[in-house]
Amino acid sequence: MDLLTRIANEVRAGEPDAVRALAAEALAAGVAPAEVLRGGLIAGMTVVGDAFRLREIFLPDVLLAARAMQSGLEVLRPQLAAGGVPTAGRVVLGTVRGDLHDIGKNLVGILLGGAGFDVIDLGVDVPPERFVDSAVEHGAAVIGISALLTTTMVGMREVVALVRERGLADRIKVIVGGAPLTEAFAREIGADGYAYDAASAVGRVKQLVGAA
Amino acid sequence: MRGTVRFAAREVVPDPGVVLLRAGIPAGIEPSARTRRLLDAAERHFLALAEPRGIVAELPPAACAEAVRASGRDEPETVLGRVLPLAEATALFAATLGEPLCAQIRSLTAGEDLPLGFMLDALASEAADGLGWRLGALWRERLVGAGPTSAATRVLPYSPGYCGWHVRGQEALFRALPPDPVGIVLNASCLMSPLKSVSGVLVAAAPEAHRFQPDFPFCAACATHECRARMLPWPDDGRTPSGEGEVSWIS
Repeated sequence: MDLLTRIANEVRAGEPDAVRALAAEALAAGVAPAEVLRGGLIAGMTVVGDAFRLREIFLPDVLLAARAMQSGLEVLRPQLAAGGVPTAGRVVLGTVRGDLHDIGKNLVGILLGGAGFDVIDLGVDVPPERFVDSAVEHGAAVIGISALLTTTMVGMREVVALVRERGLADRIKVIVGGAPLTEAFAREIGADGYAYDAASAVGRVKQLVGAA
Repeated sequence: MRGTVRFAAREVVPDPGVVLLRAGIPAGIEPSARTRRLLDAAERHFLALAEPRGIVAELPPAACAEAVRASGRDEPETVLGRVLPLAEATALFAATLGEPLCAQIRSLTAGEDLPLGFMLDALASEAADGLGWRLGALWRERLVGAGPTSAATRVLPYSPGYCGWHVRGQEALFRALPPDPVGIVLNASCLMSPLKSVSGVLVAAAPEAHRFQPDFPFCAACATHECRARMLPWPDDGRTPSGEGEVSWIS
């Protein structure tokens, strides 16, 4: 079994020490860091994401795999930064103003990171202006907003409105999600996308990045 | 009547099945061995760090209704607005698991150990939700036979942020409680710190008073309708206080 396959397998198994050691071994053997990233770490997380979508594994297993992937990334990061490897896209994430629930949002961030996206996580209780300002500042193609409270999810509308008001709708897409949300609500507030759960969010963001 | 309660951490540990459900593992699915190890580790952290405590402050239903309406940002019609007129007794409550546990969750989820932080967060969220129910059960014990309540009376917690009651309602609610009740403070957005805290109104009423159809205008935008589960009889699943905690009532 080649090194990259072994790295992917250890990511799936959630073994950070093994992933770290194998990533270092691959670099020492002359494998390009971008190849270790794509063929090892992201390949492993892609399998994990697919298994999660098919409900063969569940969130804790995804997080263990993500932790293993992170340990490999730490090894690669200095060389990746030096080589300027392109990402799948940049996404600004946060929980809507007045809401401090962040688990769902964090999961989306982890899965997006695993799919090769550059994620800027603004945290919880984020005002609309901060979503839009950060997206502009970082050149993000997508803003992802999460809410758990029925009384705060209406605040997502303000973010969508602000993106339009500033004339950014053609280059910044807004995707919303959270337990109480429905696709109908997302459409009603004018969001560009809706994700039922963290797993489906990755696919929707990929579509939106293509559209941005 | 006002009461403060200190629970033993082991008294408020939620059922593992409920925690796994919150952690995204459907009921009836056997978790992987590594998930089970995560849950065990999370429980150890919880028992070492949780400082569960709460306060109940009885307030006449009319005064409670006034405090609840004070946010000015509620939906025109709310669940609590429909339930309160049927209340036999009402009380404000606030409860928390304390800052040390919340700091540990922050530290773990910030990078120290995300999977463990996630599991501890799920466990703590369930435990925090349970505190409102536990306070309600303790308050009910005091009420039954002492007023207009009967053995059939049920006490349910209702919290700002849900079912039409805006999270800003917490501001008025905390004004009616003693300053920094049990160590909880509100930030500028009216969110509670420590994070794993709950607050709201305890409503003692006949069981049918708590039952309603999710037919409010805001229900159409809500995908969960978790309110329905609240109206089912509360099972004796171990969440009833065992009396290990320290309870002091001021009549």
